[in-house]
Amino acid sequence: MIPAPIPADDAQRLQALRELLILDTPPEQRFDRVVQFAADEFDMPIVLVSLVDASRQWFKARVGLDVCETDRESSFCGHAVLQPQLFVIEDALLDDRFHDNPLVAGDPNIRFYAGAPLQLPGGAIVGTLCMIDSKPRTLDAVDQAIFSSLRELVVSELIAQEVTQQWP
Amino acid sequence: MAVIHAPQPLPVHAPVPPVPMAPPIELLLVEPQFLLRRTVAAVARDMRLANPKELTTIEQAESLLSFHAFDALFLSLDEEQAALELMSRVRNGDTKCAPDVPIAVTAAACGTPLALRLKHLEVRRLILRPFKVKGVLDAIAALRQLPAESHKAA
Repeated sequence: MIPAPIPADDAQRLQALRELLILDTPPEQRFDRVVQFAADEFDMPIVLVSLVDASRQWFKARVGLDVCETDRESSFCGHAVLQPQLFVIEDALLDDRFHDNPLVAGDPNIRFYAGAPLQLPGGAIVGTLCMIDSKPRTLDAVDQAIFSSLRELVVSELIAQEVTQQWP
Repeated sequence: MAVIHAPQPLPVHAPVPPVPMAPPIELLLVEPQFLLRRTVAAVARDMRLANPKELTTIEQAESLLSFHAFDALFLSLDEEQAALELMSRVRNGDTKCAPDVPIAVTAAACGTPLALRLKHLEVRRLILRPFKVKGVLDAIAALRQLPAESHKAA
């Protein structure tokens, strides 16, 4: 397994994430409905809004997963936040970075992962909208466009929360 | 935990390039559900299928169609009677749209009376809930290929 790398600008990224004041807050319908919509649209067993903190990924919204956080080192999202484009692993068993990852070898037995990085207007990528399946999958061009559109909705909600908190 | 200062390039999926095709159509999209409406509109726009005008109610559509023409209409039948009446007015030439403007609809269910009514109104596509965004986009793409025979009303 290749651990999720830490980008050089991680301190600024974490600062942007913490300024959202969203970590460890209760579930909210505006995020829950997006992950449920994505799960239904793509017939995907696991969909998450994952925020990548210093040493963990914490899930603001989740479908199909009982835990609310996992470690950053073994996370797929930790890789996905390194760049702004969709990050798709069609079959984790065929990928050198992930084939022996504990999340692949054990529960939830990830084979397919798609992460849409959540990039704030200032450039910081604070997490992902991600989809996971236990069997290999692909996303065609239309799927990618739909997934990207849902990602933009999540980013809009993150920003809206930030504005609300700054200007109550 | 590994620390790197110059992340290695990762294999990623590039953004979806616009598909070269005919110009996007002007589409009136009436759908009350925010997530569905917004996603369909955004993807249709990104893929250059259509320039959707998003509305949430038939009443809003009625008002807009009194002074604005569209190349195609995509209407939710959540307000069934109002939607049917609006489509009748469109077909009678009582709006700014061409009377034969392509129309697609979504509905929770469709019995024989509604199916006959939709057929009479020359509705090109009926999509029953639950449906996927992809299905709606397919229907919009089909509307592009079946343009109104006459031009938009002046």
